[in-house]
Amino acid sequence: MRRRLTLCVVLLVGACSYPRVKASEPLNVPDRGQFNPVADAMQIGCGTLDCHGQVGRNLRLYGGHGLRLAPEGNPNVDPTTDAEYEATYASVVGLEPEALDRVIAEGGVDPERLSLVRKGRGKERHTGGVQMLPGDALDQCLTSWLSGVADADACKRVSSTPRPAAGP
Amino acid sequence: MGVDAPAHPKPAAAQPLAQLHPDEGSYLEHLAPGTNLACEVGVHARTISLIALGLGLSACDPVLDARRAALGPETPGVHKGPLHRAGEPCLVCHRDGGEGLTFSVAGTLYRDPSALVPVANAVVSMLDAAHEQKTVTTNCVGNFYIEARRWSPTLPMWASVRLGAVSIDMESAIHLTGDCASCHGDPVGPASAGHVFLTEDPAIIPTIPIPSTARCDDD
Repeated sequence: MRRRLTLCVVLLVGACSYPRVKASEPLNVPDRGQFNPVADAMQIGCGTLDCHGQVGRNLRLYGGHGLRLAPEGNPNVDPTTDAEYEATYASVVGLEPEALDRVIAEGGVDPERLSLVRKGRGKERHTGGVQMLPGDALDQCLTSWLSGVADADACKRVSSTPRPAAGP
Repeated sequence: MGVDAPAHPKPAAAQPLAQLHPDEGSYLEHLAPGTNLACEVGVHARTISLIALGLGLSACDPVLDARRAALGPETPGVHKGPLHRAGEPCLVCHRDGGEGLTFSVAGTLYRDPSALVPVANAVVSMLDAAHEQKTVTTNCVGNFYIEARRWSPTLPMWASVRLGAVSIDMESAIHLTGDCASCHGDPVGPASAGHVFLTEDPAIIPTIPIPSTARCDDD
């Protein structure tokens, strides 16, 4: 009886000293409400069917003239749907949640902590090459969103860029 | 990275297999007395296996191999050449290190989104990020291609198609590959824009000439 009691005490002490698992706190994410113009800008240079408009990509972008979310969708027509914006948002914020949390918590400082930005700027190996340079319209669109206030004008400049004309 | 030494060192008198000439007698005659034959053959077999493995690995791309296999055999009666495999993703084979010529841009043009009626003599124009423009004309099965040694575009690239007064621009830029059918495959679906077509205007479609099969054979 005495031996059993000792064993119970040892087990109870052991159980109490075991580190408690902290309840997970929600990670910081950029504002979903400002994302649609950012998605439209990314769709132009990143979301085509031969790049991130493919189901095999970690960063999977949905939208008009690219990968469609609905099984009956067609890249040729229709604007980007709300469900596609939502899916693209989930794709972007799900890439590196912890790193994104830190960037957002610090107001978008040093966005190159994110491979999304490093790859886009060509600072890290990227099959699609350099898609934006610090300060250009796409870069401004994306990084301003990460800092809390998306520059809608910069985003619009990307998504409304006219088709280039052939030289003389 | 080292290779394990054989349990029985190779005798100095033994001649490597590769240097033997058929007239020099059998390999067995060149082995020094006391050579463990099984070990000797094992050393060579291992070397050959490693070389074969290295060559095999360097030549294999399982993804491309699977795509190549998925294309299936040639259409009976159509020889390998400019008229073969219309509508298929050309650069699966016509790539650097692949079969035949290496293309930078290649595809097939059809009349409209619904039917696989080829368009011949249409001009496919490409404008790359360096503002260099290149044009190529479709043949009688609608195929067109540019060899990489003649032009390798700086991506992204924009594409247009014109036949007489009828023309159409590709809505988005090409960012990664000039292999048109890799995105423009049938059927149309969430991840495919369907085959490349010249027009979807029902008033214009009947005016597009259908290439003669007989003339196609003469190409």
